[in-house]
Amino acid sequence: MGSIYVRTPGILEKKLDDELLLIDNETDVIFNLNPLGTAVWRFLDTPRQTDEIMAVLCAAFPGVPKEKIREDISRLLGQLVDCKLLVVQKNDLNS
Amino acid sequence: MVEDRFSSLQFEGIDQPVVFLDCDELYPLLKSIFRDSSIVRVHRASEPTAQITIRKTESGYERSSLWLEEPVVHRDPVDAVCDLTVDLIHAFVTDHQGYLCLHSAAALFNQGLFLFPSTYRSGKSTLSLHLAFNGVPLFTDDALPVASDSNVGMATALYPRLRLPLPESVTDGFRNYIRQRVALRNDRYCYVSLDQNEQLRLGTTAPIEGIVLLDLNPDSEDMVLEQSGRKEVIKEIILRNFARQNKALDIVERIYEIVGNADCYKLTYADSDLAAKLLIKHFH
Repeated sequence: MGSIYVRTPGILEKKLDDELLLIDNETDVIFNLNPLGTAVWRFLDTPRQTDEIMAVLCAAFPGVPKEKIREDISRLLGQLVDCKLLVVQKNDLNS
Repeated sequence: MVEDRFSSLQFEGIDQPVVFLDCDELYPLLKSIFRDSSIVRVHRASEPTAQITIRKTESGYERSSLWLEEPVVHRDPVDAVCDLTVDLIHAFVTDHQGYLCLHSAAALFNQGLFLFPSTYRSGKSTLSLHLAFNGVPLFTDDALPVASDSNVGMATALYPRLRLPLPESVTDGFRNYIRQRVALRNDRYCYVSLDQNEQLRLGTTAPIEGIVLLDLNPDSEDMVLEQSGRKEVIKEIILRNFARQNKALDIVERIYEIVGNADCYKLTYADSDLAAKLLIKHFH
């Protein structure tokens, strides 16, 4: 089953029209989210599994191939984890 | 003796001297790329600890600094001097708490100070020198310190640096203008010495009135100067801010303020001379 993604506590947000800047004042990382990334970040206001995120985005963008959405989401989540803006938790319920 | 092996150079605006070990020959090269007498040799009785040190080794000129994860080595002395300027900017910003340093050219038009933030190969140095060639004084072609408590940019004394060779498209007049002003060069770069009317002296300040994103497109037939959204400008500037000494939120809030108080444009162009003349028509 998919991992659970959790926002790192204390990340600040600054709105930039339809985009968002994520600011970590501990590491001084500034990360720019495009509108899709912003939607994903908003959805992660509570911890989510990859499959949940996929389901919501596939419903929101029915014209976009699922594989394309999966690739984009995987890349975005990876970048956010690399920048320590998200942390990954194991899904113990499914282990 | 150790004393004979090192020199310390003090740069105006930077607290700690830069230490040179066995490479005094870099001193005149460095002095040649700054417009004012803003560098002086200082005497130290013993080898000092320094935030920037350059030593000559068998591999070349090796520089270590607070802002480098590991030392860098350049064989060519001009390259060594070019690269050192990056650390000098870091040192300046470190010594001026709260200052931002934007990776941007800046020129003082009659309407005020206009910034040209860098994007990769956007031609900002060539455009800057075309502005100077056409009578607009420069603050900088590359790095602009911005005061901590106001939207005021500060001129640096570092001469503009062109990438060589010059584009085929430049006029003979511009080519001669550059040829007559070569301060230091190698096969890749050329620093251009400007006089006091062409480049303002170190420490000159002016409020930032406008920001122009550059889109150099050699295939573009139409030159267009148009209003730009603040979102694009903010993103460009945040990506190209040198001053990592500041907290991230402070950087973001300062840049929102700077951009919020400036007129924002995008210039799509193919020819630097025509672009400079268009900017002069609008802002001078």
